[in-house]
Amino acid sequence: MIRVAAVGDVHLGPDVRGRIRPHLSGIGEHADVLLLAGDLTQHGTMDEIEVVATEFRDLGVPVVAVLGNHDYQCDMEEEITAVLRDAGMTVLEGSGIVLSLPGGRLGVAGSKGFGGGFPGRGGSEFGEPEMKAFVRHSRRLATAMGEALCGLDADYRVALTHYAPVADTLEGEPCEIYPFLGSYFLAEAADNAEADLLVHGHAHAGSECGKTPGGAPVRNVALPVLHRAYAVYCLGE
Amino acid sequence: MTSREPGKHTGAQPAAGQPLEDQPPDYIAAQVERALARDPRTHELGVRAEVADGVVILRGQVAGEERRQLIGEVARDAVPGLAARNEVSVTEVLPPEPQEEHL
Repeated sequence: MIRVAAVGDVHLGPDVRGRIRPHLSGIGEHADVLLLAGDLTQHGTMDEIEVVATEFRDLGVPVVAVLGNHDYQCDMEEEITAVLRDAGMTVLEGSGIVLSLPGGRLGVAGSKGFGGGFPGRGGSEFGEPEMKAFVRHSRRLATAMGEALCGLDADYRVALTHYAPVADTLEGEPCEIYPFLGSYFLAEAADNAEADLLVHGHAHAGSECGKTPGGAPVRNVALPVLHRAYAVYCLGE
Repeated sequence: MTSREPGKHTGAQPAAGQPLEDQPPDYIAAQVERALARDPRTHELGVRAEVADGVVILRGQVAGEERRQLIGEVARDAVPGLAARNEVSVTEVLPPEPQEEHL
């Protein structure tokens, strides 16, 4: 059995330093890995990401993260990624990692993902260049994540994103904004890779549990949804 | 379709500088949400604004008390002619639950 802890949308910064850390002590007793589902900062600044690095470093379990849209706000995503990596974390974008854990090999592929909507209620690569670019960006990120996931030689595969892969876990959000909260491209890519679990954030007013059209469990781990420092999901016996 | 006053449109420029608070409530709410998203003090997308009886009501969750106060400040700056009621709360962070979920 592999115990996967996850949380997203912590939106840390100097004004809320130390908000999560007290609840992370002893995480190794409850989980084998911690996934961070993006929006680690509020404004995407270096002083904020230093707080994130301090909060999640040296936990005794591997920490695997994707960035969220807030982490891109200052166009410093590369610098932010470098700080997290220097703190010992793995940051994924269209890439994956296999972790050898006591319960087996866990493969995690990740991407920020993007919007575009869900089957029957989504955008298409048609018309104006701006619309094509919007949907194409979403499709490309999902495709890269799916290819990374397929390439992982692991006992269990997890897709980690910031944007939502299904509409199930958006329940509670205004349905008019669903196309800005996620894209079915992510679920499709994960289903094609036979993912065992999809973890995302971004939808603060959404709900925790859903599943893909292929039947894989989806969990929205945004902190305002969980109201706790992290949730733990167990894969396997 | 609503009929308009005959002769209202004369081809002149639209009345410039119409105070935001005189516009339809939906436009005011949208303007406040835009300000919350774009203002560097907040960069907040998760707060919804609603205008009722001339009051801007703000709802959502943020990570800290200072941010909650800034939400109110930015909203008031966006529509200085209206009162703002800040119902935004600070997200709780409880310890993890001892029970994990088996998938």
